[in-house]
Amino acid sequence: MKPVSLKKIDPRTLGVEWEDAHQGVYDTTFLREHCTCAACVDEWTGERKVKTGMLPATVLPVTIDSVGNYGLQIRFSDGHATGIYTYDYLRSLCQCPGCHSRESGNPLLIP
Amino acid sequence: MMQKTDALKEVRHILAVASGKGGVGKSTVAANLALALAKTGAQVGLLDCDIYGPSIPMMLAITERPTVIGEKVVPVEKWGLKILSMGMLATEDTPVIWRGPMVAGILQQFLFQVAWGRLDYLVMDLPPGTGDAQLTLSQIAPLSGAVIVTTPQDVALLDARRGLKMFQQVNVPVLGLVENMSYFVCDQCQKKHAIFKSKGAFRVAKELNLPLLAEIPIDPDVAEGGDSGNPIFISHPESEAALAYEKLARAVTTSLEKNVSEESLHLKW
Ligand SMILES: Nc1ncnc2c1ncn2[C@@H]1O[C@H](COP(=O)(O)OP(=O)(O)OP(=O)(O)O)[C@@H](O)[C@H]1O
Ligand SMILES: [Mg+2]
Ligand SMILES: [Zn+2]
Ligand SMILES: [Zn+2]
Repeated sequence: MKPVSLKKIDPRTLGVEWEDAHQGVYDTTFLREHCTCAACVDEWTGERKVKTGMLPATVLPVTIDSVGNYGLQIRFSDGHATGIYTYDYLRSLCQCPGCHSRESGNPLLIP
Repeated sequence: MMQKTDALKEVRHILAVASGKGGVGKSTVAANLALALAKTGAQVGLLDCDIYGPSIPMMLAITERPTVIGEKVVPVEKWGLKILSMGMLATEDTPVIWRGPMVAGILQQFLFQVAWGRLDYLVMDLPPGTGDAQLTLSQIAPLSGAVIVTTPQDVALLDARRGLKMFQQVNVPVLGLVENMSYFVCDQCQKKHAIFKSKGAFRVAKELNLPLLAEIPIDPDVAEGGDSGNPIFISHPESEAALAYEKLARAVTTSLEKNVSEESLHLKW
């Protein structure tokens, strides 16, 4: 499953339209808090180094680009850009009402 | 703060050369493939991330160390390639023994704090195997694709399967298999002879629904080139092996260009 377009819904919300026409919705801070890069997640313990609520609300995306044909790279305003959100992972993070109500919270591939 | 991705902004494709198993000729393929890509007129970088046994400096007879300008490491240039290796950071009295977490950190620096400049292809020689270290590297580097090097032996093929699985896990397209030490050309009769069970990689490629990108013959000049720092692609450009690397370069280029033509996404916030 791949996204076909990206849009800025509001200053903190990313919209992703998928191949199957699903309209994904993502809070950008939530995305950052779910970054899986080595700077954010301890490689061995799996412990998250950036905890929920630690990130200032002023940190927002600067640019979002596709990488290869498998994921999105988000460059944030604090310079953090190592996170790549694979399409499968991104889809699993969807916060739209439809995805969100199915379970409380989303099944995360990587904690 | 420096934008980390700036270093890779002008790099069009990062290609990983991987193998499930050590000693199958991965580094030899990576080096000669990089040279073959450069011969097509492309700008090519070669990044040796084999932390356990970085062999690129020896294979290409590089004794220089990379320089640092400002915040960025400048790769060593040779034979038209921009080259950086873990091995360039080690000296005889500081052996390279990196621990896992350091590997990720060093690779990040190698990718993001290096003055790669404009490159069409950055070829990455991954450490052998398909463990956590390889998985991490495949996640950190924004890879456009990977090739898996194997030999015709059954165990190497089994490992290749594992390699494919690993890349699938991180959604990196595997462009295909490369069978190394596939056959030898007989001095006497000039015919191709299989050494191990023939057509092994061919069958596995079919089974895994992957293209077999090239079959590289076993050739003493390949090994000799690696030991002397004079790669076969340079020393014997007309050899069967060199032609096989050229074929590989063509296959890789075609496959990577096909992948980009799928629309890429961009959003400025
Ligand atoms: N086609 C070939 N014909 C003859 N010798 C070869 C060929 N390919 C590789 N070799 C030789 O086999 C040995 C192993 O090759 P190489 O170092 O490239 O393997 P590798 O997979 O990178 O190994 P490692 O797992 O140690 O990184 C080297 O001595 C090399 O010169
Ligand atoms: Mg090697
Ligand atoms: Zn991160
Ligand atoms: Zn949804």
